[in-house]
Amino acid sequence: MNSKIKSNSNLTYKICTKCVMDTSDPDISFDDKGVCIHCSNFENNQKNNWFRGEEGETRTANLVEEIKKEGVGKEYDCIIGLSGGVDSAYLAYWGWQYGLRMLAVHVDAGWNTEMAVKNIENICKKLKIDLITEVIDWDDMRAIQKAFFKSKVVNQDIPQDHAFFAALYKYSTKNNIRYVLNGYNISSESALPLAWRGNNAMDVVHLKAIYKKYGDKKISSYPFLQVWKMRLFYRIFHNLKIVSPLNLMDYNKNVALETLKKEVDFIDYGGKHHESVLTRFQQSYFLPTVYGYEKRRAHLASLIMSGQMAREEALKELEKPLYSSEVEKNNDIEYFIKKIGLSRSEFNQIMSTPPDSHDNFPNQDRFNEKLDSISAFFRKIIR
Amino acid sequence: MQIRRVIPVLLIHKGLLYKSKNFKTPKYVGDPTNAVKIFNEKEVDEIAIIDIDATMSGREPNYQQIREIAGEAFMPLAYGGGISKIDQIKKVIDQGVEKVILSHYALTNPEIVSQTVKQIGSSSTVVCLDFKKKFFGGYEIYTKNGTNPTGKNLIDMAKRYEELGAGELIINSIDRDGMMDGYDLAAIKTVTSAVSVPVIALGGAGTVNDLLNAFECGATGAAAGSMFVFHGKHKAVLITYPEQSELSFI
Repeated sequence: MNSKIKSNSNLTYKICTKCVMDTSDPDISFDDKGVCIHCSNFENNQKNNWFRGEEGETRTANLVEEIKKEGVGKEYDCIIGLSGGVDSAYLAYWGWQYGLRMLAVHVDAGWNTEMAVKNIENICKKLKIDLITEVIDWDDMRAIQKAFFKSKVVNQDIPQDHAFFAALYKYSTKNNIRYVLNGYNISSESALPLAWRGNNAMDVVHLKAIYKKYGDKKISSYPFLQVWKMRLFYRIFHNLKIVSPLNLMDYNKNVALETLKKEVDFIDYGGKHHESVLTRFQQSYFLPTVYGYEKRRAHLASLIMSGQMAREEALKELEKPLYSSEVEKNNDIEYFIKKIGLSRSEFNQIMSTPPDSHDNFPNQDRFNEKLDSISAFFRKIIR
Repeated sequence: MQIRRVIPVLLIHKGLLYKSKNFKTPKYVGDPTNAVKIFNEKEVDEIAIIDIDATMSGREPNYQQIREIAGEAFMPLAYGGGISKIDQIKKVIDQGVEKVILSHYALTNPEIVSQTVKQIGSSSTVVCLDFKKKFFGGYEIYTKNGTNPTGKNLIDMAKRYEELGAGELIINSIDRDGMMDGYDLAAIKTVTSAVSVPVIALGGAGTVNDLLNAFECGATGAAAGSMFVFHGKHKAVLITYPEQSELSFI
């Protein structure tokens, strides 16, 4: 596939002179030197939340102390999500180095690759981390994923991500854990455009609305986050503290990978988020085909901004096809079709219809307003 | 001498994967297709799929599901569950399965074993015997997911199926199913010394050492469910398979 794919906007094709973001982001803008908004956003905002060097070390020490203090008298200090990918693996390794007692949670939504499960096995065995797996009922998961595919909304990760958040809340509450270690890092994830993100995966109102329009069966056990619980119970009684330690160090993907290979026999799974067959299918086939952009572009741009990659190298990387061969691509498509339960013609038909937009569905804001007025009312009565 | 094999056994219940304990309280462990895909990439020696609902509800095998699973399995795949008639054998094989596993209907109608051998050959014909240890010694065969005592003796029937031409026998300890604290080694020894047909041990494996013990006692195959799908003290669902290096001295 050509890396200079068609743009969604009316802009003529343009690529940033500093990173590799281009007009495949419909909202992109450039300054008079041809530098994009993502680069300036990184320089002016995000960089200030990324603490490298001495300040990072001080903040890390304080954070570790806080987490350990919160864990006194409990079985675990914190909870960590493990996907089998580099970021969460390195985070686990970081926690292990500081002697944190971590409970790892893995969500099995039915798309794990062998590499992902092998990596999780190695991390948990070598670093002696206890693991819990939340296996989502496949009939439910399939129905929801199929509905999202039919809708073709931008954020196809919602069904998997929502279940992941639900599992984090469930097991942190169950084990009375306050701290959640999150693998988000400015180092490799700073440049993701808003238009590529779609709606927030935590938003159950939005998820259910999309399912209502495109779904075809009753959902029995998929773990929906409950609105009232999110707004009232969790805020008042179980206020989770989500922290991102990878932003407190000079986090470098290559160094992390080498360390993990050496210390926990980590297997490199190639592209970012290729630990799941579904994510690979979405990022390498679905999004480029339907929306004309490649998520790896934002990833490579982030690596340039954080000084881990030269622009030339990133451009070369983008020249490479998304799948190393047609066979590999077709295997993923065939597997997706079979697993999601579609015929080839149904698949082709869905791929040829225009995508629905997140904007056509309600989101949680309205409910939150209602809940706010309800809680205000109760506060008045109590007083 | 036969090559020793380590075989994951996956149970299908309500169309999805479950793992039982003493044949009871099935726990959901995921989707069969993806699990087989992962085992395939782990290059397991062989894999067995057993539909534990088919015989109970008196229905035929789910051919479409067998085909979907077989499409992900490039290693030898054995299928069991609900096979009651000879014309079903070929249909199962046609879905891409290498071996058929007979159980309940092999007890009610032993002739089906010799008919199967005639149709697809001895090496593709497997009989699975679920047994419980009797209070006063000996092993009794049960069918229908451990709910139906047959009054038949494990050793006698093992010999009978060998005579009928079965290519291998799976002996599955109901008492040890899902316990992960070791096979019934005495039963393995007794059966393997009574017959010369390959015997696959099932029920109770929790560590690589357990697998090795089964081989020591004469088993040709060491099969397990829980050991390959559960990890650690919280019994987290995670598909694993021993590394070649751990099994190299087999």
